[in-house]
Amino acid sequence: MKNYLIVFLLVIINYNGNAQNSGQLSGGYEAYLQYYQSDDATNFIAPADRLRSMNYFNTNYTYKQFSFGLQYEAYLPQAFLGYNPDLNGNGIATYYAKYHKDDLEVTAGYFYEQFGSGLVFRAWEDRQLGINNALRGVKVKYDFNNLVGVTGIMGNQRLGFKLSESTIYGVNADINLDNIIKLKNIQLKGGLSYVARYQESVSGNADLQPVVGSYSSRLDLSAGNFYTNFEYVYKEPDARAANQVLLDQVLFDGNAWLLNFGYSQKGLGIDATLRRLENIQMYSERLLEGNSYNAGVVNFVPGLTKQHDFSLANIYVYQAQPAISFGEEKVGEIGGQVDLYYTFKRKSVLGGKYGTKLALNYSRWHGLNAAFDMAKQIYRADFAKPGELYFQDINFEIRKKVSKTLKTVLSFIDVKYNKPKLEGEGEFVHANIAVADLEFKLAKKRSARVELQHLATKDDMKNWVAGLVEYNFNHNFNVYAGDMYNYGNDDVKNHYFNVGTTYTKSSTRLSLSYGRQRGGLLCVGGVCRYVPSSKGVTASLSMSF
Amino acid sequence: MKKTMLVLSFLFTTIFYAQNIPQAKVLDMKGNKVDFSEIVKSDKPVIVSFWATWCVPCINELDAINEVYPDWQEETGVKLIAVSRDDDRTARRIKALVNGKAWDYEVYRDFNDDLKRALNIASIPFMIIIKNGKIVATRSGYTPGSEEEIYEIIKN
Repeated sequence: MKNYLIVFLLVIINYNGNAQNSGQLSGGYEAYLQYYQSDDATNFIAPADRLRSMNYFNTNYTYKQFSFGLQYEAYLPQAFLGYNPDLNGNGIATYYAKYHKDDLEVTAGYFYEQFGSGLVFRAWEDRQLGINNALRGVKVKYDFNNLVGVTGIMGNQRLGFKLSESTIYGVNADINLDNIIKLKNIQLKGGLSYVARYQESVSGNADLQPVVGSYSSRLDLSAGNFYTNFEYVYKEPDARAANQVLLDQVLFDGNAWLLNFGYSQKGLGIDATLRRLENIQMYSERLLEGNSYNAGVVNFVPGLTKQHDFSLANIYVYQAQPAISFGEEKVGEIGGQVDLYYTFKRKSVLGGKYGTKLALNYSRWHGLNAAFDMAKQIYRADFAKPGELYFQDINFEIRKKVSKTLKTVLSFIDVKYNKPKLEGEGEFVHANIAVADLEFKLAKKRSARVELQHLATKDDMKNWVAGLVEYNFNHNFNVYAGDMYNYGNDDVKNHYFNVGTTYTKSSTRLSLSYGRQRGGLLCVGGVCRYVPSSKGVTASLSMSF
Repeated sequence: MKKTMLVLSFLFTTIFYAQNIPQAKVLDMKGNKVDFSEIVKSDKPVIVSFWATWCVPCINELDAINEVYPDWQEETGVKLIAVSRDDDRTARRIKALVNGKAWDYEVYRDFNDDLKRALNIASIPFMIIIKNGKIVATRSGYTPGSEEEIYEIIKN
């Protein structure tokens, strides 16, 4: 079947490619290469397959109202450490054909989509995280006069090079209430979604249904400089699973509440979000619940905290806690975050010659306050009363151009991390992190960047210090060297050094580095993957056409 | 493997086409879905910068351009469109950040990664420069001062 499709695509591409440039071809290639080296200091033993590569080649072809595409992936001989071991070998991983005319869009094959904020459904790709949970099936979108946009989806979810045994289907409506009731200066949008998973499971519990659905309703309002939006999600009762064992004695439903509001005008922006989650994660197969590779996730439940860009700020990272665990006495989370952005104007006292930019962020997350009956395996959770503190982050960042040749970013972070609750081991951590990032312009095309970081804590692994120097010979070519050093504790004093170089030419990027990787969570967009400690050479290439 | 070779050899023979504007919808800051091809329509040059609220070099680049943007606009009529790659974890921050930084750009969000896939964006910052409805240049990454090279492209 797949082979026929490829031949069909190629024939079309060839036919049109040779005709007078009537269609449009585009594509991209990304390759990552890793060579592992054993390392006594971090007790890292290189795996049997020391040399590994991961390759993604995709191409899209558009001809009038039609477009076609495919993605070839090769994990040779298998994916890097920390990725799903199901990713090995090679093959055509995804393909699609799409028809798009006016208000109608029909896709057959693999597709990506998101409903609302993703709390009921999100199919997306993130190569760094090793996530590609596209559905293979059919997607139809229709827009009724810019008043109501409707999307229907149905398919099996991609799991590595295989498909889920369940079927996922759903429908979504985005309603432009402002256009319907003809509001002039107010934007008002509504949304409704239903997403279900059909999976037969062998269970002694007669109440366990093959179809489990989630419902979402949303409202989005903005007027002038103010805006607010709200989403409520309900998930029908379902069995849980832990370590590939079905827990079906008692079925639990789930829910999520999300409220966001903000105000902004030129030079000032404030944004606040509150969220409560209770048993809301959905997997395409029940037994995948809690797997460490994010395999089979159907909905998107990110940790709502600031995503920091500096390495020491990424040691204690919060992941959303949407799941029930009787062993750990967890049933969900409640909390929120606030952001403030402000610009001190040029020539003001704090603005100086070039102006100063300030960003503040505060986030705080608790477990739900709940009473557990361990014998019956049931619980009762309070709606608004927060339970134990899981995480808190207070941080601010100041950006200032000091002179024509020097720009600075200063950042300070105070983080509290409930390690026993979040990782199931260790002690509660309270750490302070300070970062200075200095950018020097040396000549027309030459520049340098120096990054200094320090993390102070009496807990866990104790203090860290990190530094990085980057030298840009021109806009295409740079070299860098950096180190992270864990000091202050008696047992482990490791240097996590890294040296590397990057070459960029238009959209082509080539990089090479050698060093030691700290084991820990790698998070992108609030979703995290555990990266084991390792040492070795890494090379990567990305290009597009 | 044969299959792969076939696909690869095939594609490299057809690479040499000027890039057209891809078909994709993005969200404006009022929550409306708009055609990307419509928002980049202009007889003057258009810069499209792909960024995110959590991407430090992206913000460095947009901050740097913002300082010279009034001059660029006056001299070339250029328009900069900042397309955010934020997903729903951080998307709510966009409006506050853009206003808080007093940026003068038009801001949109690539909410379903459609543009990312259409343009094969592997990492951000990523920039495309459009003239007369064609993508004439693409760039990946940011180094201090590289905005001057962009100016050279839009000026000519």
